[in-house]
Amino acid sequence: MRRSNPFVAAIFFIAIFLLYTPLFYLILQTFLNNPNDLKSGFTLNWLIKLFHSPSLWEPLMTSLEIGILSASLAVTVGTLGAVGLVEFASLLPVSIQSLIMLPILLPEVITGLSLLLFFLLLRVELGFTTVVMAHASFSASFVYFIMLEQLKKLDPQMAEAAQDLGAKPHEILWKVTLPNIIPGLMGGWLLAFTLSFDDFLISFFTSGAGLTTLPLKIYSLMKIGVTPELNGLSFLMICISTFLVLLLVSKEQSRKWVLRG
Amino acid sequence: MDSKSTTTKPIPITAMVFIGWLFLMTFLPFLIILGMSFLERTPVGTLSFHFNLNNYIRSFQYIYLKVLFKTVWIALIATLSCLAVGFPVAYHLARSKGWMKQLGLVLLFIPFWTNFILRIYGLVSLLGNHGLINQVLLHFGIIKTPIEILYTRTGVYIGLLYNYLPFLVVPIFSSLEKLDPLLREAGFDLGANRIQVFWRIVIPNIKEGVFIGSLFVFIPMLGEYVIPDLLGGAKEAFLGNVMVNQFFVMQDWPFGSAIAGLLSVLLLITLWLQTRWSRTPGLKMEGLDA
Amino acid sequence: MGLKRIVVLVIVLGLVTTSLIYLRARKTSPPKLRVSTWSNYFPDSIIRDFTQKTGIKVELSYISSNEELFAKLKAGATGFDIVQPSDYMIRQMKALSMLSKLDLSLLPHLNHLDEYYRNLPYDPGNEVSVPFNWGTSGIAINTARVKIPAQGVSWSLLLNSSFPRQTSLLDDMREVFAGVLFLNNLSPNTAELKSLEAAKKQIFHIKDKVLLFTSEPKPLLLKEEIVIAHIYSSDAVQAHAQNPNIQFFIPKEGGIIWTDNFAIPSSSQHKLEAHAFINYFLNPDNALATVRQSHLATPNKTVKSMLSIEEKNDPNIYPPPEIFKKLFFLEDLGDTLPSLNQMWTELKS
Repeated sequence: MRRSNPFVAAIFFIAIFLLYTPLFYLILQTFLNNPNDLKSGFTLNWLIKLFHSPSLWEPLMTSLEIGILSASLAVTVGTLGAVGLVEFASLLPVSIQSLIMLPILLPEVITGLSLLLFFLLLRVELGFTTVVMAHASFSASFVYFIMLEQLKKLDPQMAEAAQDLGAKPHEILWKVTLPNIIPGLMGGWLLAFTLSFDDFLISFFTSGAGLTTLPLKIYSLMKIGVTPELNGLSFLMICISTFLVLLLVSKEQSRKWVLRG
Repeated sequence: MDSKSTTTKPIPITAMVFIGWLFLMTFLPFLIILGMSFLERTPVGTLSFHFNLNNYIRSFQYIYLKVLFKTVWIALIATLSCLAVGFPVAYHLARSKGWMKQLGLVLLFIPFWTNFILRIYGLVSLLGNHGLINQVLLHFGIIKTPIEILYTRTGVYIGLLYNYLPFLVVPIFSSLEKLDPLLREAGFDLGANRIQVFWRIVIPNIKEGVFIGSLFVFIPMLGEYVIPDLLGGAKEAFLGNVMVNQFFVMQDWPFGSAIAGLLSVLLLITLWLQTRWSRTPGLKMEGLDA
Repeated sequence: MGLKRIVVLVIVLGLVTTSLIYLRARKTSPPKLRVSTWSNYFPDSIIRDFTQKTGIKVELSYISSNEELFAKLKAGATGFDIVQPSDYMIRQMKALSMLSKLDLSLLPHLNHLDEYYRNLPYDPGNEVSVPFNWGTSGIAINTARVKIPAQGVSWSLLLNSSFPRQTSLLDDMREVFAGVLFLNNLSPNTAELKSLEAAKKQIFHIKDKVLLFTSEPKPLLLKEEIVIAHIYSSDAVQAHAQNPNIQFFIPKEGGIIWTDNFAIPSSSQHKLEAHAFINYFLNPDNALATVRQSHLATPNKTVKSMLSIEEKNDPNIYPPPEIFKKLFFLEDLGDTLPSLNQMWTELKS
């Protein structure tokens, strides 16, 4: 195949450069004495201060807890769905297919508001549990698709063959079935965790007054304008997110989902 | 296992758990918001269970239609700008090889896995009168007074372009990938020049991907409400802003729900268009297979 | 068949997860008293003192807007025992019986409140609310960039701006309309559609000259992206502390006064303890610390007498009597509110 023409290549590189500028600028600001002045010299003080500040640890722990629990919940539900539907996947009626796609397609504002109304009408107290449920509600469909593909690759005859060779049921589970689905489970879990960790809008609508995740904290700091602390948190958040994406990319099962956002 | 028998088998209980979950946590809330749109808010702020279409009639008033058309218009322009930038990017990616291609795709997506609010904050500190762009341009004497981008319509366009670009690149990229190189070569053999090959062979074969990709950025843009607020300075409301305003400021949940209903109808229309356009029936997201 | 085993495995994972969620949710289950407040109102130490003295454990959580509080309270099951709505929101919540009637006999320290704050238009006689602190909204000016007019600061400075794209308006329809109505020598609570319609046209004309609508102009003032801001006094005082050039004014035509209050939601399960909490912070010794933390004005006359001369005479916090006369509460517009909201939407369409 012939090489791309230079004009097209230039657009590509400029686009990539521009996509990264805002993020690199945030990182740079973290290390400036005066974040709004490029010539003010470098410092590590903001970051050191941040690590001693409760405004980092509390939201960070909340975000991690919510991420871990909602991802586990999503993996449970999504995997059950994939196991049950793997034989039917291509024959599903449009209504069920649409239902599965709905959480992926619905604009986030509508998802957030409808969940808020739902919880309010059920008189569920808004807070930790509602945010976990809300996050798991949109990430379960992603897990479903990942597990579906993983299970399609799973050869049922393998377990039978193992049985014929005299393997005990628990041996089949640990030595045959699990190694074959673990990558899918891990990929799905990581994807769900990342979606939860990065989420802003849905947490914004479904969190009670007392709960602050990291993105919510960043939003409120941005509104009241505490720049150094905000830049430190941004820097940390960028690092964590980049790490998570690289993990996702390193797993075959979740790789292509990274490219769908 | 006999594959023929699977069609008549009942859906197993494990699948019911998943479907039940989706029904409870996504579809039911969605139904509630739709149902709410047919109720009414009483003057004291409680709900009246008197089913009617008043909220929809109200939403067809001039000002709400104006907001609707403006939202659609801005989303359309932003989608087209995404296309203008996204197409060359996808084209370049499809033409690169091996690890370059992988790296390019990953590079394109890393920013989108950082938190949405952070990206907005990054843009705010970049575009402001005292932001990086103006600081640099002023420093080198390229401009005398700061150029105003933040809190203008341009700021909103930049925000939309920045946040939605990759979702358009991927579908175009994958349809370019699927394009059989032999087709192009055949075109050249038959004496077509590059421009003819591009318009007669490349474009017809990828237009579906382009269309689906455009829908996938256009639909969420319609529901956008943070970008007009934080990058547009809350001076121009999108449909999403009017909706949230009805919910939280006016406490008029039924009317807010009706606007959500309208947004959903727009969503359904675009999905329907997509199924008509796409050669494969149903909701299969063909263009998205990277 | 391998699938069955996956199901078992996944169900185990599900059970573990749900029990963890349950445990985590229980951990955050209501302590003795749940207080919903605004950030920066209560120093940590004073809450610890309260718990030590009364044995009542307190959990503070923060809201960012009255509307958020309202939406969450409407569910009736949020578990709050104390909320701190602003004046107009008290009126709205009171109308919907969302607040419980106060037992004034449990609030002996109420007599420290200035008479004025015991009979406010939105809640005469402290039926459901006790003012905690109050502030105003007006105009903050960066005096290094903008010369203060000799004839005094007027709303026209903001609304006929000679500083195009260097000003901001509050992103709140009532506040913005109030500013224009003041300029037109009308009451900020005018419900006359003709006057509101005229005000709308005026706002429409200056909309393009305003940089943005925001309820948090402080960071932009400090970064000098804007030089004149429509602002709440609490933010202005903080901005002034960081940059003395930023000064706050209540325009000569008049300004808005607001209060943040103590109230007990009708759903509270700990009304007795909630009264104890309110009474504790009416006690001048305890209230003084909160006033010094928030830099807001206190309705507590005993506390005010305990403040230093500079604190008492800070015109940004306690406007002098001749200006105080020109401060108005935003009152309920009733049926006119939806029309006003429609105008607001029109302005932004």
